Amino acid sequence: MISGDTNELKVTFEFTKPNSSGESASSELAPTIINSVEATSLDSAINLMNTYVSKEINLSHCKAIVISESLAASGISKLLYSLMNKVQIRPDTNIIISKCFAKDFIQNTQPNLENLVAKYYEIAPVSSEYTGYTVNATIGDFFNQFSCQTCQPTATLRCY
Amino acid sequence: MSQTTKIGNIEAIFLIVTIMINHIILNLPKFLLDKTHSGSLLNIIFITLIVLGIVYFISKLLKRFPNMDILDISEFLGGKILKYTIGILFMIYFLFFAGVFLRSFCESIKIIYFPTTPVMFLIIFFIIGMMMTNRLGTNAIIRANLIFIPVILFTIILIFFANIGNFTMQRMFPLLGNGIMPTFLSGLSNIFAFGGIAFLYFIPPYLKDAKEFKKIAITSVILSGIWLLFSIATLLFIFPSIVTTDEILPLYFASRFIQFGRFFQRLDAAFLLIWIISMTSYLSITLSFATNIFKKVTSFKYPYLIVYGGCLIVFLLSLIPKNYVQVHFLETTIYQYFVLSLIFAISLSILIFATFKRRKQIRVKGDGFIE
Amino acid sequence: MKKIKEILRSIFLATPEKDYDFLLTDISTLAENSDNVANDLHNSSSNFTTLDEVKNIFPSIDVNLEYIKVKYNTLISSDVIVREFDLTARNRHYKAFLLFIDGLSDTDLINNYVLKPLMMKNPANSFDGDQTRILSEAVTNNITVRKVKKFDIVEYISNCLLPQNSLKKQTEFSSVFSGVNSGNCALFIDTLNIAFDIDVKGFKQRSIDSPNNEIVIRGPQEAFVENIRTNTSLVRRIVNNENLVIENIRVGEISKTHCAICYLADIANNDLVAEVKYRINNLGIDSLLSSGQLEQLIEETNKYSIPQILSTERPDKVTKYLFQGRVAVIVNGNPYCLVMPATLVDFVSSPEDTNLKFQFANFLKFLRLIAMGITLLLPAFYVAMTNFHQELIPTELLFSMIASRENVPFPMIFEILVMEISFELIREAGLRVPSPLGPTIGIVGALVLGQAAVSASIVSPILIIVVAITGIASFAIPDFSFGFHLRLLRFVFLILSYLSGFLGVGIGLFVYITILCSLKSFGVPYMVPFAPITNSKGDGYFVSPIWKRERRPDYLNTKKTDSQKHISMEWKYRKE
Repeated sequence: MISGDTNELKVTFEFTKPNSSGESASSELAPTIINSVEATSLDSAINLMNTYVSKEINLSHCKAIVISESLAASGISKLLYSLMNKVQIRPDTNIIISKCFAKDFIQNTQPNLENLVAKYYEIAPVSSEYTGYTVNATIGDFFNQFSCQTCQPTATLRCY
Repeated sequence: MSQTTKIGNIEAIFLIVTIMINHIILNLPKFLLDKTHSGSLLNIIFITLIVLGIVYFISKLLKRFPNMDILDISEFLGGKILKYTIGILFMIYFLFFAGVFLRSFCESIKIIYFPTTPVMFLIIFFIIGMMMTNRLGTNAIIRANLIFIPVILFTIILIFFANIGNFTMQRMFPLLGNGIMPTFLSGLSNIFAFGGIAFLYFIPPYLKDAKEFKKIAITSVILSGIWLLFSIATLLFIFPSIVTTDEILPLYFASRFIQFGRFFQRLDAAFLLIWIISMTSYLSITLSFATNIFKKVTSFKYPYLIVYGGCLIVFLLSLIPKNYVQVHFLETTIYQYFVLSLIFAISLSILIFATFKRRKQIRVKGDGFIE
Repeated sequence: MKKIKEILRSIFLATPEKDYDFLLTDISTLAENSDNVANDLHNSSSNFTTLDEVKNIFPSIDVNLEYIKVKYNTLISSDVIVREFDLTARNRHYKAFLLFIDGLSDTDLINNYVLKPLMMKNPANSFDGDQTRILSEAVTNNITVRKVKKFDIVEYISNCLLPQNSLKKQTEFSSVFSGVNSGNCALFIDTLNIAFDIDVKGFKQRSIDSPNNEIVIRGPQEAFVENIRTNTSLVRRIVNNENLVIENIRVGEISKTHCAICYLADIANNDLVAEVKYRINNLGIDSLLSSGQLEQLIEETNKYSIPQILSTERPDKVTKYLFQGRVAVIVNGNPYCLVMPATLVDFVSSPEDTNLKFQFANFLKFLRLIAMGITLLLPAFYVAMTNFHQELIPTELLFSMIASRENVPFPMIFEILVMEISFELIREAGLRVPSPLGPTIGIVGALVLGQAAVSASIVSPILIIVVAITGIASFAIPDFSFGFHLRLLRFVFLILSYLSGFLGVGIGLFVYITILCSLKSFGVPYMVPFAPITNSKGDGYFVSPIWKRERRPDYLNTKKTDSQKHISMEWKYRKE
């Protein structure tokens, strides 16, 4: 969702379009909308997005936060503090570091087996419970390890 | 109000445990943790034992004064002047800190759920609830509290047990925290956490059987201590100790980690519902005790007017602090000094002096007790 | 020409038609225009100084007749019958008359057992022996002194002539009138200043039927009817003990309705019985028509619409409570009997809980607990969760909710209020719909209308589910008044949750439970055995196995506390 081109943060949001018919029985992927804005900090990016989109953004169902590798290399402590200060972000939101730009990662993630992208983002990183290749990295754990003086935080690095 | 109906043992125990629970829900554990860091566990066990001793001592002293609360005892000791002074001090204690805690809780709820609402409206909600329950009488409030307390106790235990997967047990070490002196000696001031025993001083007239006072006092202190231990353990193990983002309702933040599978996630609103009920119960009890003190000290003819006056005073007091930092200061530092001086120092000394006077009286006059 | 004149006359000289306009005149103006017939009748009875001062029956039959004609409006009422006849006793004739109300009394009984033995000549009343009966005799100096028993005609008639099993001698008019009003017939005899009150009741009433509103599967299927004597007989048959006391009290100045207070004298607390009688005796009302009225009059607090007295139409439920030590009140004319005191647990238990095995009963009680919670709180929680606490809802459910609400034009609170009120309307209309249409309306109203509303995007389908589940849960509550109270209260919680989400619901819940805890029903706290905690072995909310229900409820303070021996199943544990 976040990648740094210039000094400004480029923040990308992916929303799922609600199915406007009364009965939703489709077995295909629900359509999504991807929008990005550029701003100096995360809070101003969310504010800017709120002015574009007609509905108020509520992050309590946000399932994944994607940070690009180039941004992560230059330190994300400011970002992390502003995320954790929000009441709406849950501590079990997954955190993903992507090899490419975050916007490309989001645009190219097209899950085949689910109706909702949110469900995919929720359960895909949790495959660490039955595989050995990844780690279940949530933002809560990340932050706790980050502020602890005796351990290092870990997050998963993915390319789409 | 005439004490025509008395309350039983379990109701009295839960009455005092309520006070502790509500302080746990607010900022008490965080404040204790900030003072003694990883030595908190031992510290809490230590102060529970100390307070147990103090309470045992109090119950032994109160044996000579059956069915008398601290106002009657201070009247016995120093006449009406001492009674009025103590009454006013305790009333200030109850009303002021009811206002402060109310404001703290409302600020926290505002941050979580109502970012755009002025705090005054949330406070008014609570005040109206307090007013309606206090019109029904102290007995009704104590009984309603009895019904809700098991649920509230269960939620705090649930937070502990449901979060076991997120614990890092190594945060328990070093066990003695910052050292023996800070943990045990200057950590002795942590007995302010048991400010709920202020209500122990006022309970004797309500009890069915005055001899049960010792059992009630000891059980309630033990229960409060256990729950305080659980909550501090939860916070200690989940959060690293230098985190400064969880200053509001730390237990709420601990409950956000709870996740049973994919369905039972994000249950913190349910916890908050139960804690709102607990807070209303605490405020109602505090206000009812404050108005009972007022009725005892004066002989006012209209009990309902006292309730309305008390609610208005609490409302105005809760609006005094300008922002959250001031509230935090009031509810931790000022509360600590107030409790230590009023409840532990002054009241204990009154009891001790009254016991001496009584003993002298028995020696001189024999055991005919005047009420 | 004439026609034109007619037309002109009808146009210009006609008097306008008067609209029929009936007004009730003020009573104070009536006294001035006394052209009321009844007034005349009362004023013209100058034999009596004031009508109210007459109390006792006059010895003269003509005066009695005159008084009764005035008082009972016999000239106007068509069913009050005065039968004058000649009574034969000891071969003498006395003038007499019968006063009874047609329709209330059994005419066969009057004909065969009152008129026949008194009018017709038969060996009993034509015996013309000595007027006196000699008790003892003493003869001295040719003077005979006899001790005799004077012939008393009242004794003679009541002891020998009237073969009725229920006969009372009355000296006051008021008691005669009460008797006649309830179906007896009164016999007035010339030269006697008493009247006989003979029980010849024979009115039509509903036969004992199965209960309409409290249906159980494994219990008796008898229910109370309107007549008080039938109801008390039902209770007596089940209790089957001579300690059952049924006291009679008349309530209401004009209607003097019979109320029966039933209790077991060796179990029920005396203070409780005295309090019930005190409250019922001190009511200053004109008429009492139903037990619902009586319930509202003797309840302690009417403010919160919480029922504090149980009302039931099953005799087995009433007797179960009588055996526990409570008091039951039956009102004539109403098949619902009141049981007091009543606590919250009683309103949520069905009469079947003691018939079934305790596991089934406990399951049903648990279900009813859920039903209570759903009735009260489900709409409030729905509104709170969707407006304030969206994070509680799982994500997929949230998406389907959003999708279904996308086209609905109304705000959530308006939608839910409309749906709730229409559900209540359907419920109320279902009571009055004529029976051929009943099932049709049910199907049309509930299913098709709801479906059509969803398709037209007036409401969202999830809301229909919420409202339907709330309605169904409210039917699962056994007691009608308590269920109604919860249905009313859910609107309060709905408004509270709309205003401030869980904050309002939490505060509202605490205030509601405090109100419940502050109520008392005839001296028993309403929330017993939870608050205050009483000794409730085997008596709490959940039903314990039958061999554990050894004690009567502690809060009733009964005279006998044990209802079972410590080992009740003696066949199993007999020591040889």
